[in-house]
Amino acid sequence: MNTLPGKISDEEIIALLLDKDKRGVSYLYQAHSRLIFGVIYRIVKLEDLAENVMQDVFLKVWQNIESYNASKGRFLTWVVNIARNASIDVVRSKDYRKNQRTDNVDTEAAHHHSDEMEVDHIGVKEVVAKLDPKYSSLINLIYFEGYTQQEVAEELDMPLGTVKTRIRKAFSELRTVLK
Amino acid sequence: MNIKDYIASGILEQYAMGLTSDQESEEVESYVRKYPELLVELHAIQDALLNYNLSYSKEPLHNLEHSILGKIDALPATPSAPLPSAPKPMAGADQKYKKAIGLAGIALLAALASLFYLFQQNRQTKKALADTMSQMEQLRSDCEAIRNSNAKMADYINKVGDPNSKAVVMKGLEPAPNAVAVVHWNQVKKEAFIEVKDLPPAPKGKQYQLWAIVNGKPTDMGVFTLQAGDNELKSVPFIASPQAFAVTLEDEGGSPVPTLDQMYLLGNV
Repeated sequence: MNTLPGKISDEEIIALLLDKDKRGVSYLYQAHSRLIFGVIYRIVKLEDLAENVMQDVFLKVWQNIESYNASKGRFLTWVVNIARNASIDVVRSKDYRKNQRTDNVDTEAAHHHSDEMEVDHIGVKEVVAKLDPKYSSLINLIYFEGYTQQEVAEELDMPLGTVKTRIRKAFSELRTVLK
Repeated sequence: MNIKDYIASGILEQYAMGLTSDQESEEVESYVRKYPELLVELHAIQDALLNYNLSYSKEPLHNLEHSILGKIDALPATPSAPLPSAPKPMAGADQKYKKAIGLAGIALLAALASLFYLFQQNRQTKKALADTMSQMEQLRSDCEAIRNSNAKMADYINKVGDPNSKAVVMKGLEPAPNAVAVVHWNQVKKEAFIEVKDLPPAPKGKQYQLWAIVNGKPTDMGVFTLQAGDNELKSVPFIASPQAFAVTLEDEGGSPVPTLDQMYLLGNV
């Protein structure tokens, strides 16, 4: 995915970050904060916590930009995966799990609410809606809930190989939907 | 490495989602460096995932840009710990394992390790087997194709190479001066075949028809649909003492008499 037309490109952001120029951080925030925050919020499900994680993610990008290179593919994917990993780490922390026991009902509701609202809001509802739910739930389990493929295989009672094949199918479906 | 197979293995999707081990990730990146097609494919996969994530876009409640820049200013100048490539395992797992590790635990771990080793081996063997099977399948179909083309060629040599077979070359006339076809004519076996070397494809609703000229009169030898490049012989009726062979273009199904101004080929015996 490229940045919006007229906006600064990912390459320029990378160059600034490598130069330790903070404008790189500003541009990254301005161009992609909604996407990055969306992923974090989808995982941690609590707004103020998501904002903390968001700040940590930007610090990690700032501090680790040298470890990004073009053979890792899209820069934005690299950033989003940092956000995803940090968010899942938070969700798995003892503090989070202790609090979640009491907040469970609230956050579940908030999360459903947000899924619908946000999707509507930016008008790409079709992307998720057009995708067969068996694929979107698989992507969500693995990408947002942090299940390993082995855990998914056990949960859905199917062989690991089938899970892997289905992930590939999910992507090819997703790519067709996006065309 | 076969790029198609590598893509089909699904490893790039796994990589894009951050599911690959450090070692697997390094391998993916080294292949991506080496094969530009893989980078194109990886980008397409990552774009798909990014677009999917876009569906969940959300504005933070507060603008965090300023606060982030402030935190960057406050950072110590020391380099940071390297990024983990995947989320940490579940918290609490540590204590669970610590309790389990007594002497029995160690034995259990050893057993698990060997089980894991066997499992890995089994997985590798299965993969190797699957690879081999698909190669076999490819070879089988190659073999089939070669067998077919061999049979055709043997048939051709058998018919045309017969010392009693005589080749009558028919050359192109006005409608297609470059056209060439051959009638292979075997007086002993009483067989005849036509072979097309060069002939424009018949227009829709039309067919080429072969004639033998016997005692100055045309005798119908049937229509044919052979095309240039077919490298095939088509059996045609045997005529005892022809003086010449000719090909005309007729309406589909052929004509009882040749349309002389549509004569494409003519060859004297």
